[in-house]
Amino acid sequence: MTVLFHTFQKTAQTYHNKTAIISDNKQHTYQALESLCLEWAMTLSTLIAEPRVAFLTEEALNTAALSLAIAKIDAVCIPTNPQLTKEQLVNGWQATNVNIVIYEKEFSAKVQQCMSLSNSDHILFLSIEELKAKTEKIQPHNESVTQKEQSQHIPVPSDFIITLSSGSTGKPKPIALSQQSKLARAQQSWQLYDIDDNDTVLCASPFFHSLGQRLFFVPLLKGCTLVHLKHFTPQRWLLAVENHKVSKVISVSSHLYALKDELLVNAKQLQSLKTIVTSSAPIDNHFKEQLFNAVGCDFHEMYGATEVATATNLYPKDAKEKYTSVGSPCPNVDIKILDENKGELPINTIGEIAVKSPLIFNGYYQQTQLTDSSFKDGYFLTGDLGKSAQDGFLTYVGRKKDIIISGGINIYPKDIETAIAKHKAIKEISVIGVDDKFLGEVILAICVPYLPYDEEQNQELKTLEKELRRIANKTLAPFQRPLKYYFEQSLPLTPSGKTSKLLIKEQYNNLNEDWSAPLRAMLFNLN
Amino acid sequence: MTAVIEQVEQFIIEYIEDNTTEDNISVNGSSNFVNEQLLDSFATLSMIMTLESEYSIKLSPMELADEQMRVVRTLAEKVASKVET
Repeated sequence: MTVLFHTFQKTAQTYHNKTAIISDNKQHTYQALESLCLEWAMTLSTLIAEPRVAFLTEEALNTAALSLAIAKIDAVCIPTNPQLTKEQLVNGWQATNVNIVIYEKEFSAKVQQCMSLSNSDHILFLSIEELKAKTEKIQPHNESVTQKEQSQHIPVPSDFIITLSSGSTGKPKPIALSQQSKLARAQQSWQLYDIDDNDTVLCASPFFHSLGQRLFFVPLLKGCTLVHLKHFTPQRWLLAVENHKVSKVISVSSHLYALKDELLVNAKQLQSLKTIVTSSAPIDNHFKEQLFNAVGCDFHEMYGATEVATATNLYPKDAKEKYTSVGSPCPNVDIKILDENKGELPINTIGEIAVKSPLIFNGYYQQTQLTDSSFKDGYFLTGDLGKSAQDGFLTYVGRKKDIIISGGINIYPKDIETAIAKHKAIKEISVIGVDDKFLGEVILAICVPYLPYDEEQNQELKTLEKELRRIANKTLAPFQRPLKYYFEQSLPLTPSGKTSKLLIKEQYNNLNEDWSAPLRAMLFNLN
Repeated sequence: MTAVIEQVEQFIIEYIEDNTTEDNISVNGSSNFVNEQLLDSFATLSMIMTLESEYSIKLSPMELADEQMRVVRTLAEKVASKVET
């Protein structure tokens, strides 16, 4: 089903002279985007049967045209995080049966590294320039042939886009979504945030992140203008909103935190802003009110997961009274709170949040057992803890799964523990996430070394830390590297004898440090 | 002192070269790794932590907020001055 592409094409034909994308001060019309997408669709379908295309792209036009071209030929795309190590990239591509990788030239060095790995032999690597050159060689009259060949050789895969949920060195979690689901998710956003073709939507999130994908499809399927920021800084964000009269923003909380003070100071320049949507942003009601008075801008709070899309929404009208909640279930979404045995819990009792939604994902690609075990009676088990009130408003409490979310990226501690534990002086290690007001969480590595623990051994521990950092810098992506290393004699245990991450987290959260202060100072001059 | 600065500068340059997503770049003492977007946020934070650990020093947020610290050479000089003292 190429329903997402057909919706785009209909929109492109209605708004053909309108600006579809603004990025790096370049503007591209719907007509230009549609033409590029049709050309690349034809080229891709002649390159290989059943293309499964990973891309390493940051340019908005490339990303949009590629994903829509893939939608047209009913193929599968796997947007990938270029920050991953070569092993992580190739493992992710292998887990999703990628047969083509398309990349922008700035990632050539990374691609060369990937090509040196033996398990990438079957992959065709193509730069954007090579894709363009191949496209020029194809005569337009070949289209009918291509279409015919396509219908003969390409079965109708229901997967359209696969999001790799983490840079896991172990087993990546490939979340597969159909075109129907992506379209329905865009329609959900139009309805929730009152988005129409007059809106200008800002995207400051990468396309390998499900939020980035949403921020491409929501405007481009509706006839809005998409303003794209390749790299976020508060200054660029403010300029983009002011210069391009952005009206709708869906933001990760770390961006909003970095912007918080600037929003009020620059209120006059931000009058075009009508709605900001965020998830668990560290922004209180008083601030929301101030912003509403200064800019006339509403806040929506949401809760969701890539697997189920947006599950709850806190409308501005409810924000005052329900400020601890993440809102009530979206239309056609049902939420249950379950106990350890997957039994339903009564209201106001904390348990695992389970979501039933028509916008559900197709499953974890080629991981049937994992997919099946993620559901109970049609409800997706989110791994998050929360409670429901009598009136249906949901309160999010925390995560059940051992995942650290830093800067909006899911990070699996196990991958980091495995990498660092390779050092011969490490007896035991526990990697945890501690609260940070800017990044959400930051990573700490709590190590039990074989060295005799003694304050006098300080120099030896310093040397050990240097060595551990070298391992991390060499084998882990930057977002996976622990910020700090701590050395202990032993780790606290649960009654059943397992390491208690809960106790360790509590202990280190109590240090109450401003962990990301050096980063904010360096990037934004914030002390 | 000069030798230490040069050694730290080389360390920073190698770190940036290993961690940048940019291709065909030439990193040198005058490179501004923030303005030239040579490193993402995580790689920048990891670099500060690595420098602190590698040279057993501390860089305060106040010091890092100086825009000149985004330049390889100035950062190397700051680190070296702390190693010396």
